[in-house]
Amino acid sequence: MGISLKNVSYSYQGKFQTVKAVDGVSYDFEPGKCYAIIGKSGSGKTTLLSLMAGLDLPTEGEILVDGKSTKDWDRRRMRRDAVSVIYQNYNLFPLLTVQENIQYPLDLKKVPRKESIALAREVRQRVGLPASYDKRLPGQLSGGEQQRVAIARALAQGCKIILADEPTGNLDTTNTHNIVSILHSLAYDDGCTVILVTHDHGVAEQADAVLQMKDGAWI
Amino acid sequence: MKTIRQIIRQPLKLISGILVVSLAVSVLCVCLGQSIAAERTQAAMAYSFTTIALPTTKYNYSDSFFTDLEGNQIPYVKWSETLPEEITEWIDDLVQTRGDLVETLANPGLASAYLPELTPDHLTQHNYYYPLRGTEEAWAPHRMETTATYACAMLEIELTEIGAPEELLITGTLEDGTEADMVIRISVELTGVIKSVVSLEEGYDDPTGRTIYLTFELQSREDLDAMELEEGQRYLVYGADYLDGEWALRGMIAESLSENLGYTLDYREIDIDRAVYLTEQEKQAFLQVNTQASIAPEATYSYGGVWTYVAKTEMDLKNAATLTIEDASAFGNYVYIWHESGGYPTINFNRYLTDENGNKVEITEEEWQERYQVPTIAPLDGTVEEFLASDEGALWRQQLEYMAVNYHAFPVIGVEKLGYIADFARETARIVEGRDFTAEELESGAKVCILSESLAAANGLTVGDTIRPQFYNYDYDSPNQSFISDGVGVVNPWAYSYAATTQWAAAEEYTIIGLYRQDHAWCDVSENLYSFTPNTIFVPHSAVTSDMDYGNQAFFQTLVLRNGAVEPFQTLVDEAGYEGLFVYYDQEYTTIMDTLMNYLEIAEKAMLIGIVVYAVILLLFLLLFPGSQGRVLNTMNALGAERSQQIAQVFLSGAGILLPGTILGTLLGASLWSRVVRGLAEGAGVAMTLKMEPMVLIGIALVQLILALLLNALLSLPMTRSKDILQRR
Repeated sequence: MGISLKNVSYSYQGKFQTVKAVDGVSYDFEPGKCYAIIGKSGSGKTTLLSLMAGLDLPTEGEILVDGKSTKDWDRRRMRRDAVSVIYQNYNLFPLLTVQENIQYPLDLKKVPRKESIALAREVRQRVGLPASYDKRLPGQLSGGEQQRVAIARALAQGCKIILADEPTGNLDTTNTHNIVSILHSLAYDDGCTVILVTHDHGVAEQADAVLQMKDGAWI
Repeated sequence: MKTIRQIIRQPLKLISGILVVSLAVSVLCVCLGQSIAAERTQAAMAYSFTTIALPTTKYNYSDSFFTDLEGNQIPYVKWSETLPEEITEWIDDLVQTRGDLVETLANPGLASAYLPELTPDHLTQHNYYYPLRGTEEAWAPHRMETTATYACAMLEIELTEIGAPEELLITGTLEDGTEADMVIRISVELTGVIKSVVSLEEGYDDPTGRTIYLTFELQSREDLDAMELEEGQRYLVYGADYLDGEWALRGMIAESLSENLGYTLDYREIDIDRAVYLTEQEKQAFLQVNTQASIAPEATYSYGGVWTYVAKTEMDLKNAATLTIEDASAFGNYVYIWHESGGYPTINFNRYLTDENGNKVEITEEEWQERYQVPTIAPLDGTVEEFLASDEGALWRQQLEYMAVNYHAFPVIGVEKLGYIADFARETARIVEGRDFTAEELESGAKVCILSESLAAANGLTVGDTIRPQFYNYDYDSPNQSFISDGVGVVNPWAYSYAATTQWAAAEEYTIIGLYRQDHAWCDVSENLYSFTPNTIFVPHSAVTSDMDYGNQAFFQTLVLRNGAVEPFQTLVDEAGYEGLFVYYDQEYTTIMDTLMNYLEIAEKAMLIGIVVYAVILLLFLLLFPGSQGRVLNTMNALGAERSQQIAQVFLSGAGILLPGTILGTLLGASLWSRVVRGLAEGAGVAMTLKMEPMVLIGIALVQLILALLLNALLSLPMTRSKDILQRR
């Protein structure tokens, strides 16, 4: 399942003028590969990620997810079944345990409880967290551990498109390395389309392709 | 989303949330609760107070008096009969158009009920006046209206004297327009000795052996002659208006002495045998001194240092009784027949019955006699028992059955509200045990009743006991019935006389909820136009299962004003040019009105403050608790949760605290409420009737919970609007 950008533009009304955050961007992201989008703050990369995640619709052009325009998708369903997002600040539910956080997307899909628990344990193990972490709350974890839980949650979702917005932005070097490794394995081992937005050139260089954005367009 | 688990995992936040909500709820419960209590108190007080306006004699003559609010003796009239038509019409108009001042023109109904298990309260012993030793007022003895059902008697007598018949004349208008006297019936005085009592209400002393003075009224001399009455012959007699002469004499002597004693003497203390007969010399001396007197008194009687003369006609009552015998043929509606040949015109009675539509249906004299004739005088050759068992005794046997019912017939007044009865309104009659009718009982016609304390005591009854009155209707065509008005004015309402032509309702059980006491029980209408006997039973108007009679005289009509409306009503009366038309009784409502209004103002302010405080606390809670779910919603949205699931998250996160907070707040409010209410009432100087039911507090709590949950749900809507999560970083 890949994701294609067809001359995508996105404009919004700023305080004094109309702002074109994304300007005529086209690209085909293929499954089984890891992509990095870099650019300075305000270059439009985060907005582009939001559009690819279905959080909004492009004002021009279209985005095809698994061959289907996001305009035609039920975008909530798209975010449940097709596209996972991993955030810089992890976006875990602070009052749900590690297991409950991982299981949450499965609960949304009404996966039977036993199956849900088993799958959650499996993905938790895959991201390198031991069983003793199941009952812990996010507040009891380090940043790297929280990001692993976020990745495990994305894995549990079973989506083939993984979007990560500065996933290592709050992590130290060791954890950055670990997280990037996990993300790469999602692409190479699971055949996912992994797209990272990052400031970190070191992270970007490890990707299969690096795309630079400036003023909403590819450089 | 395991919302409740999330709430429980923040115990501090959970507890503080519950406390905040419970504080808000308790404030609301207390403030709303006290406001509701204030309103209910006002309603209860409005219901328990009655303000009435009674007409004075300013616009008509009367020699009867009552006491106004200032304690002045004011003469008063018979309602509506003698007020000018212009004034009665003006009053009727006020009732229709000034509902802001006039509550109603109360018109209770009179029904009759047969209660075989009850004996009337000391009727005959109070028949002449009510003893009130030591009171400031002297109540003169008066005979009760003698058409009472209890005052009938059937006696065996020996006739000793037959008087000369007299024509009873009425003045009628002839065809040429002139007026002339006409004979309507004749009357003859008979004297005899009572040989035995066949039937007499049990309260009377046994009159066997006494002299009996009979007044016999019948249609014509021919009818009298046909009876061939003989002195020395024994007769069975039936009549009404029985009078125990000895009791009457005691009453007359007591009244006479009371004027000099300065208080009302208990007539039971009069011993007739202590009367001292005047000698002939003493009589002559009296006549010489009292030149205007034509007859000297027969005796003197002294008591407590004062004495009085007693006339011969009065002393003659010592060992006597009186009875009035009326031949029903001499009564009824009539037309005059003027004879061309001269002499007195005769009367021709129209005999008719009233059908159910109120139409007059003519019947023959024979049919009428069969329905309404009562026994009068029958000669006895053998024993009374033999006569009663014979064919000739059929009418007498029937009358004995009627009398058995009449002795246990009680007047029942169906009231719209007990306070509308004038004596209750001006508190000369009051509930002394139990309670008054509730508004619900009056509206629903509940089978409850209020008796006099003395009637209950005489029959071993108390509050909570039941009686089974069997109502019966009034036969308007019968000449033998007692009437609300005896033609000269208002009477204490009496039960109707029973006869086979009346109609029964089924007996039903009524629960005694209250007992009343009157300041001046057994007084006559000449002393109190609004009087009623202690045998009177009060029930809700719609609880009466027979027809009722509605009089237009004093007892049966009371102008009821709105509480607090005396002043503006009086202004209205003065502006209409009828100054002094009414006197008012308001049970001192005006003295508590200002205090009550003051309390209600305080209660209302407290309620508003409470609502504001509640609203502020609730809003703060909603913003700080469910309102802080923004980040969680963002994550849910990013993960593809439906909007309904996000709304549920916000809603449940609030509800999970609102519910326990409401319960705690209600309990807190309930425990604080009575203290707060009492404090507010004491501050305002009001005697509070705390009428808060738990269900009201629970209701307040439930309503506020629903409101809070609604606001909570409404808050979730904008919070769950889909936004670009990444842009909010």
